[in-house]
Amino acid sequence: MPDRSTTRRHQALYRALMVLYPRAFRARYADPMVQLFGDQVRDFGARMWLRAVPDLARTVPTQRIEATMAHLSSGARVLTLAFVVLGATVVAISFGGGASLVIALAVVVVLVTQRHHFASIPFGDRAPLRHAVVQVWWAPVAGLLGALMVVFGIGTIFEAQNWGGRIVGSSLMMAFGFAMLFGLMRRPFDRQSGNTLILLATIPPLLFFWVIVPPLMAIIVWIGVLQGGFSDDRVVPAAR
Amino acid sequence: MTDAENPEAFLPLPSATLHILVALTAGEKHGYAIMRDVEALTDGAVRMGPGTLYGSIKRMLADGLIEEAAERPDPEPDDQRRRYYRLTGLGERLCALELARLEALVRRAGSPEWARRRVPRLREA
Repeated sequence: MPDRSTTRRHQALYRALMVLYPRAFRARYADPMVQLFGDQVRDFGARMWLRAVPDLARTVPTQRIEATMAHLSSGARVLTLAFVVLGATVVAISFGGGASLVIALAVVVVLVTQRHHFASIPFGDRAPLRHAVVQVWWAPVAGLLGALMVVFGIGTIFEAQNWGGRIVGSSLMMAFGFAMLFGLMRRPFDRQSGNTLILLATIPPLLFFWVIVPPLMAIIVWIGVLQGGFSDDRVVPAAR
Repeated sequence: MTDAENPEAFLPLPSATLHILVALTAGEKHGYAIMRDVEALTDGAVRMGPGTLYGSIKRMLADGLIEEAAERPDPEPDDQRRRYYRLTGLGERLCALELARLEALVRRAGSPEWARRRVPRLREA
């Protein structure tokens, strides 16, 4: 039977594979699962991998699907997803390049499927995307505007005429886009800082006033933010 | 009517759920003890991996069939990360109902009346 240090190495490798599971499942069960796997290796040796690998192959997709279905049960999330994909598709097609379309959609898919990595850390265990949509009527417009800026920033990497545009322009555009989305997620928890980020992020679309639609969306966001009150007491969203 | 008031709504139970419930009828246990007991109960026919076990435990906790035990009945030196589980009242009722259902199934499948209805090639079995 393996000694203690060998068992620990097996456990470390198994723990690394825990990343395959959804975050919530991992947070709750990774420790006991690793402990259990260590017990198995201690008692039966490395052949336990022959059981663990098929078990991972069977249960990771199951847990992933369960987690995704739990998210999709919220109509607001579906609406958000639809807005983001629609925005990304429109912008990518407008660039005319097949590569832009593929890259933009891939980025959107990664952003949506891995959103908990971006959203969970500063906000506890709430559902930021849902709150972003349900909090106020203008939030979907702001969300679409933010997503458009991110996708536009990605497209700029390929479409700009020089490296300055490619690097600085695209970085700025993506930064403003992320700031908008970040502000939307932040707002239900801290209205003032969320609104600050949102309004700062409307600068690029307001500057591109001749394109008409983005500045109009930015104006809608400004109206919404100011109408709802720029600052307020800390807002705690209702429990799910 | 809620599921807690109507345990029949859970039946038939998934195989892993039933085996875990039966293992926990002997008292509260941690994951590895459950796994070993399930193997012993089934003569090694059912071997759950950690993902299967804890995936089932997650659903059973959500359904209120089991609960996490605060105290640790069998403390070991490397015991800190272990979680102990025990049956709830609903879990106990459900386990008894499912076992009764399976007993009835086995009884009927072995009855002379059912034997007459079997297709000819299975009558010898």
